Amino acid sequence: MSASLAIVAAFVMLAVMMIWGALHAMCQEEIGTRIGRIPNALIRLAASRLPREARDDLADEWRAELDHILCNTDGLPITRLLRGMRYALGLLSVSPGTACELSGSDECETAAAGYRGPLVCFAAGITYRQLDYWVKTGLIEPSVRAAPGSGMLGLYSFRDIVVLKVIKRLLDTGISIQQIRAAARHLRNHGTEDLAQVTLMSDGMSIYECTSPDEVVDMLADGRGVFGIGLGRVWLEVAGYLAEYPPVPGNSP
Amino acid sequence: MTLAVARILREFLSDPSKSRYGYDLMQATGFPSGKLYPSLAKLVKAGWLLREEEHIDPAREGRPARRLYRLSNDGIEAARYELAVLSQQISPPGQRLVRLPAEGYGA
Repeated sequence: MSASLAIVAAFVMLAVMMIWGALHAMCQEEIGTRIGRIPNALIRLAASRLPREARDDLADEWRAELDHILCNTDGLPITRLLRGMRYALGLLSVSPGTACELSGSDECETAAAGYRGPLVCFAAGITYRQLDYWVKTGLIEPSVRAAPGSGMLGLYSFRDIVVLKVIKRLLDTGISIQQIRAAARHLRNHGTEDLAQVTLMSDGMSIYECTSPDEVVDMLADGRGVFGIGLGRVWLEVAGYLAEYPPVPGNSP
Repeated sequence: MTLAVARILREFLSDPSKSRYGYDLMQATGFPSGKLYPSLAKLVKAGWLLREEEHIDPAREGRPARRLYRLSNDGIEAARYELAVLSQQISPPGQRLVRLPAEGYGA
């Protein structure tokens, strides 16, 4: 009697273990594919609040850690998922000021606040439609806070506005959009302060950056018909426009 | 130096030559990610910690490369000194003073 009970018990045990194994494998699959996307999306969201220079690098680090948590730590799949969620939520719960510190950036104070779309258009002298189109086509990106799919909802830094104003001027003079694209990319890599020292010169075909009066004179001496934009002047104009409007903190809705 | 930073340095000093992953440090210190990473960034910026990418081929391993943190030479000295000072400052009154290590900045 007790022997047959033991056999039944063994069978039941075996069945439970098989079902458990199957469930375990299914859960693992689920986490590997669908559920794992939730913490990944949270990490994307957390990274979107960082200054642009540091964003991708840190997001890569966090994703790699998350991958490790989801796939290589002890515990059952749901436990690991919860662990991953806690990890991602922790990053998201960092206050906006500290979010900038995450990147070790020097420009945290200025990067943490920015200007909204309508004011940006006013200061740069462009239309809403232009701003929206330029953001969608990647000509410019709001560096304080990006808003997916909309140029108007992002938060822009002072430098972004200077660059926008320069883009507008270049467009007005009929320079090709490819040239402008290259110039915009180049200007974005300048610090806010040294941007004011730059003079952009164009002969209608290409755009040149001059940082000293000598270089400007050299270009003129070549006998080419050129026109130039002193960014220092643009910088002052933008500063003038924005003087009465304090920047909006990056954490505000 | 905040206590959070001190706690992280203490973890690194337990084996100064060892590189650590962010998640391992979270487990060792019990800090949530949102508390750990800002402190790590501060230490990296100050030059006390070095941040390196893991040397793996992500395609072959089937996972992304992780980042590793370890103490720089300056960091080891500075961390020893600062921790000694801190432990002296926050040790309960009446206890004997903690001697600063010889290789510290102040020695």
